[in-house]
Amino acid sequence: MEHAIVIACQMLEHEIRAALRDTGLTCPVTWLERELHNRPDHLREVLQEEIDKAPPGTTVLLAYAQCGNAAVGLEAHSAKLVLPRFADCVHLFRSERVGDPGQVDCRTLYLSPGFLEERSGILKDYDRYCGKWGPEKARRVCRMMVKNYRAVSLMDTHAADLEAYAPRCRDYAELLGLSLERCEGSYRVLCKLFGGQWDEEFVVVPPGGAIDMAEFMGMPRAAGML
Amino acid sequence: MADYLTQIEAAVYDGDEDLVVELVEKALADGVDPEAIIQDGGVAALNRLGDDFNNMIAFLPELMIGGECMKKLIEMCSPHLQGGKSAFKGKIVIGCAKGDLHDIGKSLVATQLSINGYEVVDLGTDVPTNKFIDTAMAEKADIIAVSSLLTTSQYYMEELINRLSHEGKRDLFKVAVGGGPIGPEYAEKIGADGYSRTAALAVKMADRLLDKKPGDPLVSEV
Ligand code: B12
Repeated sequence: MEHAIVIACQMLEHEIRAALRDTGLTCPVTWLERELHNRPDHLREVLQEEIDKAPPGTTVLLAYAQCGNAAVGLEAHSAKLVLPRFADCVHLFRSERVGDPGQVDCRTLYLSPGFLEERSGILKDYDRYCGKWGPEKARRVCRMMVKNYRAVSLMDTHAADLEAYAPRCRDYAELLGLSLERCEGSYRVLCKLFGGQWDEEFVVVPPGGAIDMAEFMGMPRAAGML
Repeated sequence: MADYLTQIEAAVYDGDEDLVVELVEKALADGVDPEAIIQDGGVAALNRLGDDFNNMIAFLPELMIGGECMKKLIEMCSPHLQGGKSAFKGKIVIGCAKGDLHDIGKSLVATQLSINGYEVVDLGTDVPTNKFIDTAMAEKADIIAVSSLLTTSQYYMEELINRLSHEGKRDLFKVAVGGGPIGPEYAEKIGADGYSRTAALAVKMADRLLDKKPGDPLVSEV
């Protein structure tokens, strides 16, 4: 691919590296901090700044998803933008085609390896709250966050050695008092992104355009329990 | 008295529920006005937490725990308040849209409304559209309030409004929407009655909603 750059979410580093390797795409990659997904409005600003740095005529491959509308409103200016048409990374890894609703259970917390890097997310919070409230209350607070959940599911995206992450995922489930499961995922959409196969699974914005909310209408809706 | 209130404010802010219970018990026994405990103790702490959260000084679990302390405080003070049900400004049925389990924001909104004169029926998380309608009918609610943090759940807000219209019930209730990805443009597009950016502004919005007539433009507090 001529004049391409990748803007990549650190949370998906394993899958992105695997897809770059499989497709043989060599181009500059800008990694953005994993914690940005906690603040969609700020993430949008950071993404726009990165897009604006691209020289005219660049194709910007966004290794993201809709991400709580972080991607909505991004302006291409002189670049061309390509973004997977999925709600979030759980759908990105778990959907077999665009509009595939069946693979996401609302009472499950999905953890791909990126979510289990070092002590991040709730495990990091737990450490901080231990200092503040002591271990017993810290645990109670963490469990309160997920009181409506059923399970933690370790997602095998086939991009990392899953067994290396299994012990930390067990810690996670134990801390939260949830059952521990495993599920399958895939980085096939990222391979298509880097391989230039931009079919209906992608939002493609020409120079001068912007990513419109309407691009995501008709996405599968969350399936509730009742 | 001012001393109790400062201490209660600090205990709610710190999320120390045991201390909140102890202080509120003592304060009530010493004749401190329960309304002052709620406003100058609880609300003041929640507002400070909200500001610190927006400025990234406080984090989500702190916000959540502060909210829990507040619930406890209200529970303890309510029996001592003057006036009964007739004092309510209106009744609100609130919940998270179907498929959505993010409830921290929704619960803060529910708490703010309940301490500011509304009777609140909280349906919790993952609430199917029918349940919103059935409960609102049974409770003769004034407002149905829906929270969504998931773009995959936000469509159910539109579904709710369409279903109400379809069943000839649209004018029986005001529909308010909010949550992370929801903005006033979306609220307007789906024909909601009210939108607010924060829990504190939700009270102002609800007050204005009670006077809103069918066909009036969206009541938006941002
Ligand atoms: C905390 C959090 C969690 C916690 C939730 C804890 C809990 N008990 O609520 C945990 C870790 C459990 C979690 C789980 C998941 N999450 Co989450 N989560 C968040 C996060 C970081 C913050 C949400 C929050 O609580 N904000 C703080 C509160 C105070 O703000 P708020 O809810 O917006 O509410 C305020 C206002 O909006 C308003 N308001 C709220 N509701 C209403 C209603 C009305 C009527 C009104 C007037 C006003 C109003 O008042 C509130 C107070 O001022 C967001 C990112 C974000 N910043 O939005 C992601 C986010 C929402 N989560 C996301 C995802 C993907 C998930 C998971 C699927 C992750 C997974 N790996 O499995 C699960 C899904 C669970 C499910 N089925 O619902 C995505 C959503 C993507 C999408 N599809 O739309 C987000 C956007 C992160 C991202 N960028 O990817 N999450």
